[in-house]
Amino acid sequence: MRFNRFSCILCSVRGDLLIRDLLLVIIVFAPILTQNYSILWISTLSMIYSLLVISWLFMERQSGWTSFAHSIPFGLAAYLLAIYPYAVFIAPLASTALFLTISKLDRVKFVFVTFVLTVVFWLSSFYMVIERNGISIGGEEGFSVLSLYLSESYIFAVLLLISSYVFVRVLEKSSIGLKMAAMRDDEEAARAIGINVFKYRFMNFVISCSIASLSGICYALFFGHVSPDVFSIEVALFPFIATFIAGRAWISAVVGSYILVIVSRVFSGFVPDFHLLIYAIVLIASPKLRRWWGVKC
Amino acid sequence: MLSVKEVCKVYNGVVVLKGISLRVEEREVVGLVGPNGSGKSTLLRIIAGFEKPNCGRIFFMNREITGLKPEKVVKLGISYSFQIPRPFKNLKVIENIAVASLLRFDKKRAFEIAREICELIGLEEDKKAENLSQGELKLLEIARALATKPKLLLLDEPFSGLDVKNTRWVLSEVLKLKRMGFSMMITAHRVKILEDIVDRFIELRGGRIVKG
Repeated sequence: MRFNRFSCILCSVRGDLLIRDLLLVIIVFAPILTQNYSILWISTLSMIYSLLVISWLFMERQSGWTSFAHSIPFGLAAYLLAIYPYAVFIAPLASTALFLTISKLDRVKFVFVTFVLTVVFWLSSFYMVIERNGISIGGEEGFSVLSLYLSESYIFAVLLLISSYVFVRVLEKSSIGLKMAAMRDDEEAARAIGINVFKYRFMNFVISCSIASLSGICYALFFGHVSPDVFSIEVALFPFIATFIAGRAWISAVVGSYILVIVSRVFSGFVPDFHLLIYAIVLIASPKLRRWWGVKC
Repeated sequence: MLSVKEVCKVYNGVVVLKGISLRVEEREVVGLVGPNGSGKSTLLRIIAGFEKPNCGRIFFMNREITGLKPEKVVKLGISYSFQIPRPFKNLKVIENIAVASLLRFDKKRAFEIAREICELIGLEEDKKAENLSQGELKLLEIARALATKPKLLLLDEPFSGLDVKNTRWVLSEVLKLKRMGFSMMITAHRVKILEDIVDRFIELRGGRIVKG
């Protein structure tokens, strides 16, 4: 109730300013003020995952296709950065082609097939071995990447997150976003009013896969290393769980990612015996969180 | 304006349309009547580009449109409204109409046109499409078809599934369109319901034209 009143006061001050956008600014910029290494590390990782969730959410919200394979553009970009950095742009294009091919199926089968593809890519990545200077590298160990300093990674992640966030929100409000929303609700009816469904679906997939690839690049530069983990089921399910916890608003992508990273990375270090219990509590409490979070001006 | 020549359609070995030929002139309203399964909706779907005919040709404004995709057909000026309303559920009424208007106008103008159509038809613009009644959904279908600025409107059973009050409402709105000079093809089961609207009837039975 108090939150509701507070948010409405804020909105009356600036009609177009939502408390959620303010919150994003606070979440993103507060860590740099603390100058605390751990907080900065967690924030950077959360922002990288937020990018992944935004990319997933863009596809889900704007085209209606739910994917369990966003680990593919994410992991592919990270791997290409490690092996052939000049070919990194192939990652979003190849992923788009893959998604477009399976989008010939209906939406339920699409979900199932993306999950199968995730498993296939993940298992295949264990056999990804190349020879460099006569030495075989890769496989389970993965590849090294030139890593950035933490502050550089943070700035890189902030820039990508803010620009992606603004981009998807502006696009959603534009005529392209409106056409995508129509296509999401009913493809045949969209065709009846002159919308080229293939063109807008292609556009949607390209944007979504590009943002996911950017988050993969950011991830690789942050850790300085890529391994089959980037294709894992955990990464594939991350956006789904994050939005389950915090809802399907754009800012929820950021909030959900922070919650998941804190629960999975921080609590597993501090209270290793109870972190799964905390994880379970967060999941159980998520409907209440979503309701609280759903307060609108 | 529209010329359909010897069109036929076969579904899984069943002949649905057998050599249909007809013409629709400018500012003319044609009623397509017949029992269930006579091929009325199939014919409209073929003209709108949702189905491909097995034989025959279709011309619109002296241009062949046989087998063109629906998004191309609507650009040429033929707009189709579905028998069972298919609204964009998560969008508001005005957005449902404006998105159709984006076919020919920029966003600002599209919303202005959508507002005008809402006033003309009598729909609440801020209502979400999923909250509309059956009558309102039928009108939204017509409104969306109108927003594409068509030269020819194909209305597939606009009065089916409506109660008396809503039928009258939709009927009066279609009459308004007729007075505005729209060319239309309207399908219905019964002749009586279309008597006040159409200039002439075409009766289909078993995939053939039996009258008109």
